[in-house]
Amino acid sequence: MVHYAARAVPWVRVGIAAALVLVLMDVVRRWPWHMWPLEGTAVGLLAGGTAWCFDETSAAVVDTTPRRLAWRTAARTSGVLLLAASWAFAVLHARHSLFDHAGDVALQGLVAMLAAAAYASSRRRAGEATPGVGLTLVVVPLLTAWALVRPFSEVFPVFPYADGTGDLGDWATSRLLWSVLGTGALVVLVSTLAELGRRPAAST
Amino acid sequence: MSTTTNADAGSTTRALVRKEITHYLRHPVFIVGALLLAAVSWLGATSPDDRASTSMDGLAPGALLGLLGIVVMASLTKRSDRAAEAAGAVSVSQRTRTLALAGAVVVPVTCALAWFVSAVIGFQEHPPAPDGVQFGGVDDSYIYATMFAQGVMAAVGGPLLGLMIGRWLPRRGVAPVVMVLMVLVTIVMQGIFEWTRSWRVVWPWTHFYGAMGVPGDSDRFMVLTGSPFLYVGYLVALCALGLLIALLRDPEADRRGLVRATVAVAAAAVVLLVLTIVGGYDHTLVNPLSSGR
Repeated sequence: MVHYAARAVPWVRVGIAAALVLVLMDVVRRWPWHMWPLEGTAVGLLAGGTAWCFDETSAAVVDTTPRRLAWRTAARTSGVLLLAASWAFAVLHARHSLFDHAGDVALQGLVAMLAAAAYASSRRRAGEATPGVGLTLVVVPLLTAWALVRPFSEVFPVFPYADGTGDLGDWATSRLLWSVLGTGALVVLVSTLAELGRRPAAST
Repeated sequence: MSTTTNADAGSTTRALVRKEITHYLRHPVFIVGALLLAAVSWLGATSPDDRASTSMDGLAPGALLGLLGIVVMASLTKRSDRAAEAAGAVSVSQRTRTLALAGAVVVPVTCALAWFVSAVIGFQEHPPAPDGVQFGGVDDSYIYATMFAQGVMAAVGGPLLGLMIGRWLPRRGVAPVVMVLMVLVTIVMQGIFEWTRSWRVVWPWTHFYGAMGVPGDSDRFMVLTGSPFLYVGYLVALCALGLLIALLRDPEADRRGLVRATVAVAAAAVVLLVLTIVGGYDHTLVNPLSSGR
């Protein structure tokens, strides 16, 4: 599995995403008030990087090999672990600059990764070879733009700004939004993996 | 004979421009960005900020059309290349396809112009409070030039940067990563850090005023150095430069002519940059009225 993961995961791209996440969160740590939108940008990168891990450009060939999609998906999560580790370290390192919301920030990143993994693996189950490429092209720019512009922040606080005072977005509502997304993503991911586990090899 | 060939090339380019405009209009990232911009613009124009009115709203088109435009255009460029590859020995040159893609910029620019008009009307309808953006000798045209640079020029520049990326760095993941780096540097260069204020106009998106604050009053409005009018000229030169650099990628291009044009435009950009820095206010103006916050 390790051998497979070493070759299958796009480590350079995932490594760049993990490194960028560390850089962005360190900048937030240094100048939290001014640089806060980079937190949302980092969350977008985590989602994009996660989706990349599940792409199989040679799906037409590998889908016919004895290794099941479930096994390959499990092997590919090693890339996600790198991203999760970098996010955990980045949030831990910046925790004193996160206005007492380190837990909420950590939740956003983890849910973004979970949702991206759920989407990518369900699209792989449906036979799409490289769902990550398309998802990254949508999720990274849109989450970045959302973190900058923060539309409808009073009713739909995806990324509350800093301490969330005034019209900067309510952290409790945001937590609820991300929890709902996380729960939905978990259901999709578990059902997808269960389905993959039941399928005979080479049926995708 | 040559007139006929030129006419054919012209009609091919026009047909391709129409096609790329359609592709741009149908791109999901553009659609989401445009819808969000419409919603944000409507909210901004009907209930603007007391102290800034709509003068600080350039961030929305800058992000939703400019930043997203990087990714949209990079993916359209890849799509165009894939279609050309699939067609085999095609008669349409890369130069024509690049120009057609550049023509599709009309889509985000039209949206940005619509935003600009609504923001100007909003500014006229709801003038900022005296402790806000307009004080001293800051007139409406200064505000409008800044809004134009931040909104409309970003809607041109972002997609053209995406075109450059699509031509020179067509690898997977480059466009989103470049976009993230653009955001990182733009926040640093927007004038909130004192050490970047004097030379921040080098960067294609920055502020000329804002609630940057002074010791003891962190929300005090100030007007920064530099001329937003000349800055628009500098941005036009940068956009032309971007298009020329994208055209240079074509192996069959008239490289000599393109390089000459690129050097000339780069020189004009440098002159305009210097004029932007030395023009306008030569020192930071601070609103004499406290923000009261």
